Amino acid sequence: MNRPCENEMLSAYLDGELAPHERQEVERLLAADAEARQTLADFRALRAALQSLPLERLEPDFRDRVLRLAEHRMLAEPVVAGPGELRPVAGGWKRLAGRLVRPRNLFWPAVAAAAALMIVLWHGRPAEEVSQKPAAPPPPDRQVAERQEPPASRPESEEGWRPSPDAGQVAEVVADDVVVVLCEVTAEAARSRTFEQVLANHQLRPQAVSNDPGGALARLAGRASDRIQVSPQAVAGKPIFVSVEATPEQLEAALAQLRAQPKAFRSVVVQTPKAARPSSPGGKRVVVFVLHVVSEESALSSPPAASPKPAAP
Amino acid sequence: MNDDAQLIAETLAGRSTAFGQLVEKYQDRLYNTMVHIVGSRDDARDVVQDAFVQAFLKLETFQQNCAFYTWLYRIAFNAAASLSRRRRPAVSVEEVRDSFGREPVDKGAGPPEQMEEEERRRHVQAAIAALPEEFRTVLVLREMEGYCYEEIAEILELPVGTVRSRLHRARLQLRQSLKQVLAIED
Repeated sequence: MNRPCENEMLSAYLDGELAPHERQEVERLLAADAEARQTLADFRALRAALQSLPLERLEPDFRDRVLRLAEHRMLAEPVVAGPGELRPVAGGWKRLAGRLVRPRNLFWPAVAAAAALMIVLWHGRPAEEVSQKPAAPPPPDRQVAERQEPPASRPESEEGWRPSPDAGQVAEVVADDVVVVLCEVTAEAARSRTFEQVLANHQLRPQAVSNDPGGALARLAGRASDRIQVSPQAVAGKPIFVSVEATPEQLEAALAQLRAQPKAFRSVVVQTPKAARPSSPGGKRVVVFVLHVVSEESALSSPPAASPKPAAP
Repeated sequence: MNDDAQLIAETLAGRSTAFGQLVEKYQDRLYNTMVHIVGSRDDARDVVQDAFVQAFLKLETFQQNCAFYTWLYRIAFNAAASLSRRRRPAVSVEEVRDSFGREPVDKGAGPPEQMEEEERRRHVQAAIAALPEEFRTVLVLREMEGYCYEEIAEILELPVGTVRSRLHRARLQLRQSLKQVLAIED
């Protein structure tokens, strides 16, 4: 045997991890050897020192920060990640898509993804179908309600429901067609119509504004208007969905202006389609701004973040 | 179905506030451990945050053949190991002590005993952080978390014999680093 202090069984003895016969062996060693006794005493002192360290605690808003970040990532990962960590799981994409489009998902970015998906489906209809029925779509509420169902759960033959893409295609559709901009806006900025001003500066006409993605979608067809306002919907904690059609230049300029006002707009996160596909004939594509109204206090207390992974406080 | 399983089921059903309850339940425990694993509060916060986010995103993959917290731990340890590879090839006791010293100590308010206690605490934290990573993780899981050898082996995916060996060597090394502090305590 090595020096007594080298004997691993001393640690295991301290931890109560020895078989009875090993325990007896260590006790014999302790009775006979002062160095072994000293080593065990030191280990006990170490344990006391380690366990007397104060408990480290996280700040009270840590949970909210985690949820918000998770929601951002949930939007980002399935659409921008290639064969990422979620793919190897059998059915993982399908279930993830199910979580994204589940109608009662309350967290706002997931709702935004659902909104983006529904907008894609709406805009993705054949051009002649849209042009023939711009003012008289099927009953909006019913149509929206139907489209909010997870695609996988819909019978494909049901009247009025186009064949559902599978979950992988769902992710791909979102990735290819819709730019989603997640943006925190202070209540004051929302009340001051700062966002509307940014849109107006770049000739972006909102097609729909609502706290409810379904409501926004129901009003999508041909309703672009400069008079649509964010402020009536500006309630802290509630997302506001604003859809516009924008050229890449318009979008870039609008984003630059949003980012130039960090006190009013925070966490401007863009979910850019990975594989840019030609959009509408005018070179425009659908952009969904998801505005998250935050109180002045939380806006002041959290640092501005311009990427999907906010800096630690 | 236990509480965690219920909360996981609710999260998967679309109620993200249920996941918020899981975060609340485990955040401080995981953070406290990670502070000692990664050796800095800021890094520990990042690791814990990332672990919870990853857990949320991968929740469908959780097989429930171990406790949720054990699974979460594995994610956090992987994140910590990754961070360690990126940021800290080698750390001295002095460097780590400095990093823990960033928290302000009110030197004017406390009695000398309090300041001594604070100094001793920083010394211990620095000594833990200066241990090689493979020793540190085993030691923290045993002494801070109270896991048995088998549980540590499961979390770290190591043989039990390796856990026992590393733990003993970690204690010997820590004893060497803290000789003076321990002598003061005696």
